[in-house]
Amino acid sequence: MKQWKRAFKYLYTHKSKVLLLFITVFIVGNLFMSALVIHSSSMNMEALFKNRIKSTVILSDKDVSIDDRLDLYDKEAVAADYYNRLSIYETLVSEYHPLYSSLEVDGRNICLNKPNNSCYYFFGVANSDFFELHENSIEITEGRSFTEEELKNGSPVAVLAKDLGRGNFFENDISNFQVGDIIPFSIISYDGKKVEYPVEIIGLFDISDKLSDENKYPLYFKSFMPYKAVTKQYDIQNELNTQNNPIKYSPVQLTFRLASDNKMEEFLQRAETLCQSTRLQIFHSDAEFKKVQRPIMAIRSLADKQFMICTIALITIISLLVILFLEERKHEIGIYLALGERKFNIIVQVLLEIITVGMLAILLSIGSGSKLGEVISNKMLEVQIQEDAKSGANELNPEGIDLEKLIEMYDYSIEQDTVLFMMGICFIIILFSATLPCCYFVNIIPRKVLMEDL
Amino acid sequence: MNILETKNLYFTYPDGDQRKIILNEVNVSFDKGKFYTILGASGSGKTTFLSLIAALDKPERGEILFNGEAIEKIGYEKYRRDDIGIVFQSYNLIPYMNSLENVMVAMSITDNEMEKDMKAQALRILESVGIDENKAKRRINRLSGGEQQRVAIARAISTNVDVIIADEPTGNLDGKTSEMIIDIFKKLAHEQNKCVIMVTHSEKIAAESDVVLKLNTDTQNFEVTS
Repeated sequence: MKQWKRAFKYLYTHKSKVLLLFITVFIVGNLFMSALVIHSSSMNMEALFKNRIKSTVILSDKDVSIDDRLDLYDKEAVAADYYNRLSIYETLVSEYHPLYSSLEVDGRNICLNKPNNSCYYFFGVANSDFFELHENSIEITEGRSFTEEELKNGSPVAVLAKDLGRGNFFENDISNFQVGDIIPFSIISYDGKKVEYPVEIIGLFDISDKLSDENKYPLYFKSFMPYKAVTKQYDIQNELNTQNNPIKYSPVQLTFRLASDNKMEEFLQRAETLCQSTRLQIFHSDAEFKKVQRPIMAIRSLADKQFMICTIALITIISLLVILFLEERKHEIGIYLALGERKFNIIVQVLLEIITVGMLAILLSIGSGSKLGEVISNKMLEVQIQEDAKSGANELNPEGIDLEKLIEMYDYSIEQDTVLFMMGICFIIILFSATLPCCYFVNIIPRKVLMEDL
Repeated sequence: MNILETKNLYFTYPDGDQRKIILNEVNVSFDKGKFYTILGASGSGKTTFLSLIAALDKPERGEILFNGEAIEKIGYEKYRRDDIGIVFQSYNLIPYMNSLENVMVAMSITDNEMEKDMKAQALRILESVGIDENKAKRRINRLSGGEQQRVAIARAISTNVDVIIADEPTGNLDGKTSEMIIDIFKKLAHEQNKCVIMVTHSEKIAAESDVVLKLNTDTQNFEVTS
């Protein structure tokens, strides 16, 4: 009879001991798994949050003089250089600029921002693979993105949402745009002077179905032009205004969204040198996460402690149970030794028994343990949300992700990696806890347990 | 050549602050085909001697030779696995297995050559000691003491060893069953050319053996009578 046969024979004939071991490991396994699920979920949520929020630097010049604004344009050029040099994928986004249009193109009615509202907003981008495209939030399904030439010259071309009308609270798309349409936009001064600014539609995009409705909605209105085209619109408007009024319009802010947190320091060094007179608003993804993380981190911290305690408990409990069981089986071990069985084989037999029962208990605790983790963290989150609401600690970031939205991002799904990690860790713990007592017991002197007399 | 031989075997036990000598420079040899009994008073060290030649414990001094080679050199574990079979007074069978499985455990542990159909071989061996197939499949605790001892003997001989070492195998058995067990040992020695070494308290059983080794508590050594 090979070791595995002996092991299963033992398990089959010692059901009460098997049950005791199973229940014990199952209980600890549930706590273990719940801790792991909470930890893993919070990590996933942090990664998701940071991916959504990105690291953002906003150069704000609300209070900057006209001369400074002109400087800022130069800085934009340098910033664009940054964009290339640092290989930042992100859009260089200007504050949008309003363009006005009649609601008719080639005899077709078109819908713009809101019904009966002819004002429309464009976001300036500095790259053909701009942020939303790069992140697959949108896909250009008709036409194309910008060419390098168009970006360089600031050509009046635009990429719009195909379902623009749907964003305007209509069930169906009624925007009626087509690639190649030239929309007769105009720039209007404060005193009503008008300069024609026709914009050609070169691409229409669909919004990804993977996005939530909440994330989809802003994209219906987010239409894109080359960044330089947007700044040109400001120049035109300022020129119109200066004829009768010294008021100057300028981009409210420039937003740089960095592809990687690692780029932040280098970027800031240059930006601060270039934009001394400009307000710098920094939204670092780590820092933003820290603002809303408290409840999540509290749970994660607790889960980590629970994980540690469970590890120690599992090692202790399995070691004690193995010692207890082996103490009762000293005689049997003595018999195997008297028959000349190799110590290694005896250890393998006992480990097979413990690992079979232990891993079965752990396997079954995965489902219930993750459910338990969900219940525990939900309860804790409720408490934390109430506390944060009282203290007013809930802060907004550029993406407007507050605590409640953050919690919505908290996903309890168990990933294959988590299960494998759990199984691996538990296997090592069980193996480690059972091996040491086994090594001790196989070193008994057979005579002492098998022979009674001198 | 002797199959088993002890040279200057020396063993002591702690006795308060002192150490009590149990075996003092014991030199004795055993041959195949003979049935040996070891007699001695309680505490004289006969079981200790048996545990040493069965490699269940290590001597303080001296050596035990199997076919002329020190068992320490062979390896205690390997020696127990391949060269000897042990029968204990309290049977020492694995309680959660049946008779057949107890015998098959020993057969699966040894490195000696076994028949391909191990189960059939085990059943034959059990049959040879008076355990039929029906009893062979019974759990150990459902067998009588005599039957359990016969299973223990079957286990000892199942590995094709030349030396059978038995520690008072009839100690817990009635007279009639004891006779049956002694008959099995005699047959093993005389018909299957095994070397059977048995510890006993009984002068009557000792009289049935070929050689009697009496352990003298004064000299802590053997007196050999045939």
